[in-house]
Amino acid sequence: MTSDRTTRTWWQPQRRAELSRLLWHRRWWRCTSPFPHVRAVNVFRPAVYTALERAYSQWQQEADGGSQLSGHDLCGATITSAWTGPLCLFASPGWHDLIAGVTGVSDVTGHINLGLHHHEPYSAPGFPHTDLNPGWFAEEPADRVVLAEPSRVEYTSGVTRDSDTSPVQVVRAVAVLFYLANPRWKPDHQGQTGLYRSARDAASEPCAAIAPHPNSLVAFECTPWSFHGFVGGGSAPRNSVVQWLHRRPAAVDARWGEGVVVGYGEGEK
Amino acid sequence: MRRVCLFTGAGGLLGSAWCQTLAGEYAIVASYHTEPPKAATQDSWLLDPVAPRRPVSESEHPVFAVRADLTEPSEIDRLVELAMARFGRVDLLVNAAAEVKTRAETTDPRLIDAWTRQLVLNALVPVQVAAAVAHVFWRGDESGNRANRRNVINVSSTAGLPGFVPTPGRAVYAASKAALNVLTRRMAVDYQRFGVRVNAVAPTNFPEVLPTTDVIESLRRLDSGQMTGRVLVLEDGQTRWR
Repeated sequence: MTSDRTTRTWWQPQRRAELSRLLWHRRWWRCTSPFPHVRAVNVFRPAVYTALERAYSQWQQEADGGSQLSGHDLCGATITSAWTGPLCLFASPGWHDLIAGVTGVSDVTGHINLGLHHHEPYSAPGFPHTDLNPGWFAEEPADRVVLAEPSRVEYTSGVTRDSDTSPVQVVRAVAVLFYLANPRWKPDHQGQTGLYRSARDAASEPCAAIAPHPNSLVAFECTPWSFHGFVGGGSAPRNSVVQWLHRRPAAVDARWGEGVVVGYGEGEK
Repeated sequence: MRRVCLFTGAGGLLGSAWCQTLAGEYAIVASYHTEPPKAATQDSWLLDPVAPRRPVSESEHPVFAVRADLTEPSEIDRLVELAMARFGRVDLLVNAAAEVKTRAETTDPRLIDAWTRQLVLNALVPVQVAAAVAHVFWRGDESGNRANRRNVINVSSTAGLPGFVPTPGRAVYAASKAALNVLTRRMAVDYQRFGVRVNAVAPTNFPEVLPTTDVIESLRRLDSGQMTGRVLVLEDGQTRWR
């Protein structure tokens, strides 16, 4: 795989149509139950997927599994503008626009929070939550998209690391989980992403369960009822790329009214 | 006008293949227990991620998917009521819901619940679903039944035929399919009174031995034919009546 432009690599598509040569199965599922979401398997062509998996495995080795995430039984890392390599595909304008298109969300801002997650076998279950949370960035996109930069602004609080930065607050609009570097899924592996009707549902009893097949994804608009969560680990680890696109707070207020955005740590049982 | 097909067990291999290939020919009510058919439904459809607003042919005729546990009699009534509410008639009933993979050794008395469930789902539920359709629709429309060649097809198995070489742990499954074959012939007599045909297909293992498309083609052949009270046996390269 080489770039078709002299200055760009294959993992930097600028337009949605440029993804055509990277995608494998060109039929994704748009589902409505228990809330609208998109599912896809065999997302990327084998050579592309292998490159992504290799990059993820390399991160795992170099970062020794990443750092523990507050409130969740998992380790992870945030991908920033300092990163290079295939995983930056998920930070490209082309991918951003493709995800906004398949989820039907048109008022996205270009702000992207991108991370890597790793659940150990038999990790504790999560809890149903919506992801309709705020996010803070160091700046507006200079060229269509911009990544969260924890070294300048804490994404979950807006606390800045230097006095020159004026944080930009947005709200999560779309959540994406792309599963990779997992064994071929079997029921005893568990580790699915559960989709729920309400926050009162038990994590282990989702309305729908998305198995973490390698090279598959689930994506959905973050709304007041997009309840989802980790159902709990089984005999295999679960690895994923996680991503959020964002919209303006005023757009959220206009659509659902004020007060629907959930702070971090709220809503936990 | 598309024929209306009520297909039970639509989440299985055969049901998904039926929905994928024949949704343009039949208006399909797809009954499933856990996994919906891998086809466009009223709840899920396919899109091209690069052009998500452009219609794709696979989603042109979504099937009407209904989740139901057919071992609960009230669920059968609900399924038939929904089918009638959605399409107003049933021209073809395919009884494909079955417990296939359960290996229930007949030497272990603790497995009585598994035996019972397999016998009920594989042999009695097809009779119950057909009876529910007959009760709410077919018995009152004899001329329409004959004019529209309305019929029932029970999906049986070569495992239920005399002379089949038995495999361990499959006794109850084989008995359930043998019962279904007998029931098919006797149901045909009962349903003949109001002009509905009843047949069965008994395929060998698919897709391991027999292509799934062969089973699909046999279902279509039975639906379009005039025969009743017959079991169409499908083995590798051979088709015969029993």
